[in-house]
Amino acid sequence: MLARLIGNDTNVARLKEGLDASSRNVRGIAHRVANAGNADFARTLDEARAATGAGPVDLEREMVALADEQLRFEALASLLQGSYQGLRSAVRER
Amino acid sequence: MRIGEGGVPLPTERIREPLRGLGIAASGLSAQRARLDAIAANIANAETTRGVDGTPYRRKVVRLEEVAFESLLPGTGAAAGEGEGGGVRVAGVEEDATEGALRYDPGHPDADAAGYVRMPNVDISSEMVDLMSTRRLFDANATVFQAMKSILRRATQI
Repeated sequence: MLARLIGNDTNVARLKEGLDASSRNVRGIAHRVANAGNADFARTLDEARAATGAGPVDLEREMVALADEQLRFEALASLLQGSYQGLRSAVRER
Repeated sequence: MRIGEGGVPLPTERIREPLRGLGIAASGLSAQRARLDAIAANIANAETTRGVDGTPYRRKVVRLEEVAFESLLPGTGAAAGEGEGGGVRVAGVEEDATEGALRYDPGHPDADAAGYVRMPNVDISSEMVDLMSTRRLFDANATVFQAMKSILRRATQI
């Protein structure tokens, strides 16, 4: 019964996946920013981007993506907190 | 997938270290610090005609190297514990092999028979440009570090 409230097919699980994806994205941004002064890395990244049709990465775009991801994480965390709050009040019957 | 009590699946993969992301940003900070040190040494020695081996000072260049980022390779999650988890490292500090300019200064103790002195191959203006980009990248990495910290803090408050 409890498994269905907080298990795999609930909002909570989806929100957790969202949080995981968000922090993974932030780590990706951190990796690219850390390698921003690395000429070899910039070259391979540009080649990979050109192959997929996307433009080269610049620092400004990474910083915008970082702010975006930060807000997404914040929103997901608030929603998850809300879900847990709902469960908690159901458990406590108030 | 192992199934725990009540049908809830137990996590099979190793739980990721939450602080690994901070390490990535920190590696960027130390890489830029290393570049800053090299630039400082280059500017300090811009007129040094006798380096440690007696020849004119040669410009130092920091070579950076990418540390493999496990999450870029899907399906390698189980072996992720072995990897260092992304970032950048200083592969080495190398010397710029180009020759410096010759300056006519017959009174200089290092002047050759014709009165020319071989100067270091340091170009102050290009060092200043490098300095600006280094500082900007340092700031960017610091911003990423702060963002990561606030995300981790938020995650502890759920």
